[in-house]
Formats: sequence, C-alpha cells, structure tokens
Amino acid sequence: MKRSFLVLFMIILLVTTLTFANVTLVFWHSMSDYQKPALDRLVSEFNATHPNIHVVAIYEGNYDQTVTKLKAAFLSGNTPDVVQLNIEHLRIFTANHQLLDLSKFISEDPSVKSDFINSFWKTVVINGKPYALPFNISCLMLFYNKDLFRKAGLDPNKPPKTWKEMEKIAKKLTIRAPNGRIIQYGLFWGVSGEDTAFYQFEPLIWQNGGRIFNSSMTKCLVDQPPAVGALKTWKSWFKEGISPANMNLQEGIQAFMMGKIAMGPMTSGGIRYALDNLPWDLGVAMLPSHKATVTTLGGGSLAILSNVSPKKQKAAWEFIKWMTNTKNTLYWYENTGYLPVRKSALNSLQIKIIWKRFPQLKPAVEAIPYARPRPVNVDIIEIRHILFNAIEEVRHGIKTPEEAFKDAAQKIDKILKSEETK
Amino acid sequence: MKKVILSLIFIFLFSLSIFAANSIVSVQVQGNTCTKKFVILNLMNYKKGMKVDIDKLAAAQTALESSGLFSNVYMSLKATSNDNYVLVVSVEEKNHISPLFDLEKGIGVEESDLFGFEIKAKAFLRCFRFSPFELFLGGYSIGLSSRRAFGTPFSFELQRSELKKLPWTAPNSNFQYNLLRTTTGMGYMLNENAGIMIRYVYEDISTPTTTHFTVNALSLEIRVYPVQNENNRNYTWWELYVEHGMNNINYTVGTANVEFYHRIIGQIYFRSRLYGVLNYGNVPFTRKIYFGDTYNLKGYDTREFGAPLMLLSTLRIGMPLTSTFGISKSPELTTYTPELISQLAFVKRGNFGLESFKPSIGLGLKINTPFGNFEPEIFYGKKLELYLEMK
Repeated sequence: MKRSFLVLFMIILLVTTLTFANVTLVFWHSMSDYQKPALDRLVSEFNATHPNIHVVAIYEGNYDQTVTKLKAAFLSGNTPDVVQLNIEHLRIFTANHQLLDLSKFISEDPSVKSDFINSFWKTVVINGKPYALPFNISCLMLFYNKDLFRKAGLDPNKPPKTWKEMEKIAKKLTIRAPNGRIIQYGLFWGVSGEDTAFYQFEPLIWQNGGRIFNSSMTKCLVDQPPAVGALKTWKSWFKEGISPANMNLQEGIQAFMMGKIAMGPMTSGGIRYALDNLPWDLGVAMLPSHKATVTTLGGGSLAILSNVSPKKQKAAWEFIKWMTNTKNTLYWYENTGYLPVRKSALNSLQIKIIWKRFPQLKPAVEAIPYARPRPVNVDIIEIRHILFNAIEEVRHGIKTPEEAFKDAAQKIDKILKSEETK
Repeated sequence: MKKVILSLIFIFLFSLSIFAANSIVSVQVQGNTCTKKFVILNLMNYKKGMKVDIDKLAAAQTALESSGLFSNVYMSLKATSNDNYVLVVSVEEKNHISPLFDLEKGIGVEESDLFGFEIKAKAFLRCFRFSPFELFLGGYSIGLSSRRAFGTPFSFELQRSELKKLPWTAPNSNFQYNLLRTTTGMGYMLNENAGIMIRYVYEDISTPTTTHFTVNALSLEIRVYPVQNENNRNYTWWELYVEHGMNNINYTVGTANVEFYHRIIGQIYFRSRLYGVLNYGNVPFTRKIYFGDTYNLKGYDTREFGAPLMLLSTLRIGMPLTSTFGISKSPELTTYTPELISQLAFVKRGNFGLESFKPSIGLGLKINTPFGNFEPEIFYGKKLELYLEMK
C-alpha cells in the first residue's frame, strides 16, 4: 500500500515537474555503476538550479551500445536531445550531420572554448567544427599494489618508469609456490575486447615509436616493425611467466583486486572506484616509457543532436556547458577519476585540496601532456575488433606477431579503402 | 614606555601578517541561505590574514563537510591587486528539517540548524502508546543541542521532558510511571574528532508502588567520533561515560564503548563493538544499564540482565547490495545490506562460570529508504526475537 502511494507520489511529482519546466531534455549516457550516482547528482543539481529546464538522464549501456541504440533511434525517429558519446564515436554521427555543430554557441561564448584543455578540445573538433564538449576524459595509467611492493622489499613510491624497469620489478613480484605453480603475477597488461577494444594496447605501439594509422587515416601501420615489436614484447611477458596468459581482462581485474597481480594499466576514470573497493593500498603512476613517453587519451563527450528544436538546442547548450564548468568538472574528477577538462580547474585551489585527500588522482593530471587521443574513424568499432582479435591470436599462439598484424593491417586497409570510394 | 614600544612592535608585526602577500584577506561565502557566515568561518577555523596553506584549507573543507550542514563545499581563490587573496567558499546546504519518531517520546520534528547558528532543536509530542495501543496526550520533550555551538569548539545540551504513563517492562516487573527529566550539559570539542561533555541530570519519577523519588546526577562523557585511517578502509570510534548520583541516592554507572569498522573487499565489511557496563550502588531503574534491549544484547527478554558488571561483544559482517541485488560498488548504490551478527555477553552474577556467558546469533537486513534506514533483525539467544528499527 505504502509502495503504491510512493509510486503515485513520484508520478505526480514527475508530471508536475515536466509540466512546469519549459524545456525537457532527454539525456542518454553510458555511466553505470559507481559513476552513475555522481552523474545523477550533477543532473539533479542542474535541474534544481535551472527551473525552466528539466533534464531526464537515461543510462543506455556502454559506449558501443549507445552507438547502436542511437543509430536505431535515428531510424525510428525517437532520438534523445543530448547524448554522451565516446570521443572516437563522434565521427560516426557527424558523417551524417546528426550532431549539432556548436560553432554558433562557441562564437557567442568564446571563453568556453579557450578554457578547455587544448588536447581535449581537439578530440571534439571535426573538420574544424566542434560537435561536442569534452566531459569524461581519461587516460591510461599504471595501477599498482603498494602492499605487494612493500612485501617484495620494493619502494612503493617508486613505480617503474620504463619497460625494462617494469619487467625487472614484475619478475621480483612474481611468486612461485614450492611446486612451481605461480601464485602471484607481477604484471597483467590486459586488453579489452568489448567496449573500447584494443584500448590498452595502443600506447605500447606508440611507446615503441610506432603508429597505428598514417596521418590521413588511409592506411593501417600495425604491420610495421614498431607495432610488431610492441606485440612481441607484450607476448614475451606471458612467455616469461610474469603475466598470466590464460586470463581475459575481467578475470585479470578480479585477480588484481584480490592481490594476485601486482601491476597493470587501467583507466584514470576508475581511480575512485579502485580506492573505494580495493582491499589494499593503491598506487597510480604514469605508464612506463620505452622509446617515447605516451599514454592513451580516451573517454566521452556531451553532444547535442542536430534534429532538436532551436529552443531545445539553447537549453541543451546551457546544460552541457554547465556540466563541464570548472566547479562541476572538479566534482566529477574527485568522485570518479575522470580528468578535469578545464584549464581553470587545473589551476584551482580545489584541485589542490582534492590531491590532498586523494593523492592517487594527481598522476593522471600530470600525464595530460603525454596523453595521445585514440585514432578515430567511422568504422572504428569494427577496426578495433580486428586489431583485438589479432593480438588474441598471438596470445593463444595461433599466429606469430608478424602474421597477426600483417593480416589485420590488410583487413583494415580494405575497410579504409572502401570508405574512400563511398 | 617599554609597553608602548612592545605594543607598537606587536601592531607592526600583526599588520605585516595581515598584509603579507599570499594571504587570505577576506572570505566570501556563497550558497548559505540559512547558516550564518560567522558560523561557517568559525567551523573553518579562519583567521584573518592566514596564509594560503593547502593543509589548513583542506582541513577547513573537511570541517564544513563533517558539520552535517552541507552536502557540497567548493573553495576557490580570487586574487586581489596586492598579491593577496579572497577565499570564496560555495556551500550547498542540506535539508535541515526532518520528522522524528520515537516509541517513548512520540512523534516530533528536528531542525538541525536553528536560525543558522549550528544548533539542533528537537520537539516531541507523546501522543500514542503501544501495547496496549492508545492515542492520548502523554507529555512532551524538547531539546536544544550543538556539537559546535555557533561553529566554535563549545558544545551544549539542554533537554526537558515530561512523559506520562511510560511502560516499564522487565522480567519480574511491569508497571507504568511518569517521568520529568531535565538535562543540562556543557562540552568542548578537543579537535574535529574528539569531544568532552559534563552533564547534570535531574529526574522526578513517580510509580504506582512508590509516591515519587528524585535523581540528581552528574556525568562526564569523552567521545572520539569516527576517525578514518589513511587508506580509507577502517574507522574507529569510542566513548567513555561515567555518571554519579548525588544527594539521596548514591550510585555510579559507567560505560565504555569501542567500535571498529573495516571494509574487507569491495563494500563488504565487518563491524565490531565492545561494550562494557558498570552498575554500582543503588542505581535507580531509569538510570541503570540493562542488557536485553534493542541497543545491546538481543534474543533475550527485555532488560533481562542488570548485573553490576557486564560486557558485550558484537560482530557484524555485511554485504551491501544494489536495488537489483547485485554486489554494490559504492555506498550510493547500496539499497539492501544483509548482515550476519553474533553476540556474546558476559554477565557477572554470583560465581564465575559458563552460565555467565550469554550468546546470541542474528540475521539483519538494512534497507535504505528515502526516510532513513529500516532495519529488521531476527535474533536467537534464549528465544527467537524480532526487532524493527528505523535509523
């Protein structure tokens, strides 16, 4: 009975709110789990401070699922007004003019553009036009178990800085039982195969002095020596027994959480989750360098759909601008680990207070100058799966690194060529 | 002359400290519709001319957040023309009026920031009674208290209750009584996490069997509020309480309570409590500490044990779950928390022996609702008992 009253009350509240708010915006996002409460709180605060606009936030699955659903929504004509899109997926929708060019709003409010961190801003600019505002930008960091470092007699405040150091430390952190079975691994460089596939492997190619595509995005370069070399090194970590060969990414993360793996690359967007859930002392550091110091820049942005009315466009612009303002980007950073997107946030007093409370959040900000955006293309989801399958074939010993990347490059080049003829 | 020179030097140094570069020359507070600015400045421990010191400012922000008055605090600096700063503190105030429900005191309301002075006010109207259920006007209870009055380190407490037909249930006695109680207390917060308080309690009790009697007692309480360790996984808090009866009834009651929370992995936790009680002398029934009620030993008769010396250890293991019964990854996502609970009490009665130990085991479920935590628990000790609490 009580439940029925509560539901009725909520419906009345929702209907009243929707009736009296001048503009209602439907906002699709991909933030689940521990990020959702922080996002919901921002949306709720926006609604409380903007009586004429009401935003309804709806979780639509991960980034890849959101792309699929948004494509379907365009076909059915039932699209949202604002959408959180992975920065690499923007091009999928700008190709068909489905995202609103924000140039008009930016020209009216030039201080907005100049305050975004330059490398983040570039990720939302396509053919010279901004199609979104950077929101949840992250970079890949080395997460390590400080407790295991201490147990092995290593300094927990001196994480590895190079591949060689990482291999040396990983060997020290790999422990075998008397029967020879490995009970603790020093490293797990897991690579995702589903959403954001191939994400963790990209920096290895760059760090080895290589590139994944040419600058005009017309040719895949993973068959070149730097990429093949990176793949050989990655495979050697399994071969030497410092990294478990038979674990997928999720299993690796579980083992890392249980203290069975000492180091691994993870997104900065997961730092707060790790701090709130791990049973041991977490260390976060820049990814180890090799020939170059690089990490991957990834994450999401907030875009407005081009088919919404001018009134809604204005309200949506107000919303996405508010979500990324200095105060809110710092709130988002402190509660998730996603990087602050504004220059003013990097120079703020609040960020220094945040670092005092959560020192593990600082290295991600220090990594920004070394963070390289992921390659983008309209068929990027398919391309990444080809690359991921290639490294999986190497991990399972089906192909040599040379064969796997040669075959993958040929498949990808075909896709890139077909795009040229479209 | 010496005094004049010294005063001039002091004034010179003082003005230097105020106008030295990199100092905070003023504070601008935004977003406070209720809480007074001076209260916020006191809570922050702001001193005019203080240097921009991240440690102190981080402590100031933590003090504001832990005051319970604000849901969000944001600090920024505005540079002035002479290399100094204005500190801008933006706060979001929490809702500070909430309804109250108490089986003994009735229904009431709480204002947690009275006139914006960081003072808590509570008022109850005793208008019902369970077993047998009766709607009646049975008195009132009002109180004012503050952990940090006006944001200063001083605490105070004032309470007045006039409650009629209160049920007393114990194994060998059931009766009703009328209670008039006045409590006054003064305290001091030693730091953000520790406080001390001295109270005077006056009670006037009348029961069907005695005409009436009065209690005059003085008490001392030392409390250490939850302190989080560096890695965010453990909290410890404890309190010591000693009360001494004066005038016609001489008695001493003492309690020591230590609690420890440890997050095992994910959000799974264990929480332990060690609670010791001393009932010494002719302790009036309203002041005596009993085991067998909702707050201590469960699974036994209400107030079954009231021995001079009693100890209780409680261990709870909880596994927070989301609304869809998945494993919760953050406190904000938690809706249900099943708990496995074990209790072991030591009750000193006569000779020391196995019968002095009273065990019980229980299962609990914490349900997060918009109105607070609803916590049903089932315990087995001497018998099976169901407990319902709203926290």
